[in-house]
Amino acid sequence: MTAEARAVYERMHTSLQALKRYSVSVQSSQDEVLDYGYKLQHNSQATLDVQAPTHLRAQISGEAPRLIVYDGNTLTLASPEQGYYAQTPAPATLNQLVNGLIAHDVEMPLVDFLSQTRQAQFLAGVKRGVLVDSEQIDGQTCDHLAFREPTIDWQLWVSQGAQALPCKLVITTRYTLGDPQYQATMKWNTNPGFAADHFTFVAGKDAKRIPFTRDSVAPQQEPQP
Amino acid sequence: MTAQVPQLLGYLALSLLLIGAPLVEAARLGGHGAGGGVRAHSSVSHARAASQPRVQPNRNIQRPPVRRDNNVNINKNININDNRNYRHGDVDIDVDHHGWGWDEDVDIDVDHNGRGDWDIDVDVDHHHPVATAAIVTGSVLAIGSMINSLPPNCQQVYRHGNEYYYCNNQYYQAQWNNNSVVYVVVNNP
Repeated sequence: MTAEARAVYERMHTSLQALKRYSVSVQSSQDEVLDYGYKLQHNSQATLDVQAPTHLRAQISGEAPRLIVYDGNTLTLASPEQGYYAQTPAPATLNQLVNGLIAHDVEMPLVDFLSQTRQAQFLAGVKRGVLVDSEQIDGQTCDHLAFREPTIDWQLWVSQGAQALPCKLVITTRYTLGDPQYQATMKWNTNPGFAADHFTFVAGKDAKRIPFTRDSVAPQQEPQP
Repeated sequence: MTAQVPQLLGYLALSLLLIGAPLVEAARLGGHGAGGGVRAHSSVSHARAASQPRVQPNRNIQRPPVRRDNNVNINKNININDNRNYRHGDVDIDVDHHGWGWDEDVDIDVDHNGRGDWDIDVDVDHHHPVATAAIVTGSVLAIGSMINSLPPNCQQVYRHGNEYYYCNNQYYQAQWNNNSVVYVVVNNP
């Protein structure tokens, strides 16, 4: 990995670490490879509101619209449209929460970048990384980084200027026939105002709490007492 | 030259047929996932985890019962090779899956990341790891099977304070599966 690519990444890591309260709106697309090689593209929008280190609210649209709320004590996964929600006690910090979300296959845009302890070692498995260019994305000038790992490729655009934040992410799943891609562009608000109860989940009047499926309860690791 | 025209038309028809099938399928399944396709991963972490070699850890490890429900049978014989087909027949409907365990030191660049070590198969559709086969009226699903939406003509029933749906002589319970609600076939509550 080149020094200039690493420098851009470090700059982003420093900026993310300094952010205590932010709101990101994400527009993403995800390829699905069907039989006979047809590549179908699914689009979705999401808003991530974060107040580090203990609050998160993610509203995700698309095929399975859902709400993810973390208040420092409890994690709620909800489908307001269907009137169901599931809850579990959650760890004390967002950094720990993110590990759990990933271990439980919970998909959320930008999940790679929410935990700064995770970010600190994120490049450890990367074989190659280069700074390609600087490019314009949504009116912003962003540094374009390209990474190669044994089975996946990913590209990241990081904004230039005072705050180095992710502009865009592309992930190519190389081990899957058809090399489907995921891509997301982000717009950051680094000074949002959140209502006092913004990170409190309130179930709808007729919403019902449901259990988790067996497989989404226990991932590989045993529960902590 | 002219002899090639029908041949060309034949190829065209064939390719339309081939391309048409999955499209029709996708359109029919609509709203809830096009069904069965292989998706790009939406995070580098998930992509890394899922691309790890398949390892079969012992899933019968004793678990401290962190859940409020004391009826959890922790020694149940889960088929570790079930490859996510969810058709093992020993699902206990009294299990109250209301909690997660938290692994607080996940190491992102080691092969032990989350569910990648389970039966992750690159063919798994992470959004909707659910049988998308059409539910034909009268067909019987194995206990533990999951579907995205209930068959028609279901009756809502309450047993022991829980809500179930009774459809075609089978009971279903709504449960949360990673990213969406699924209906799981359960034993008669």
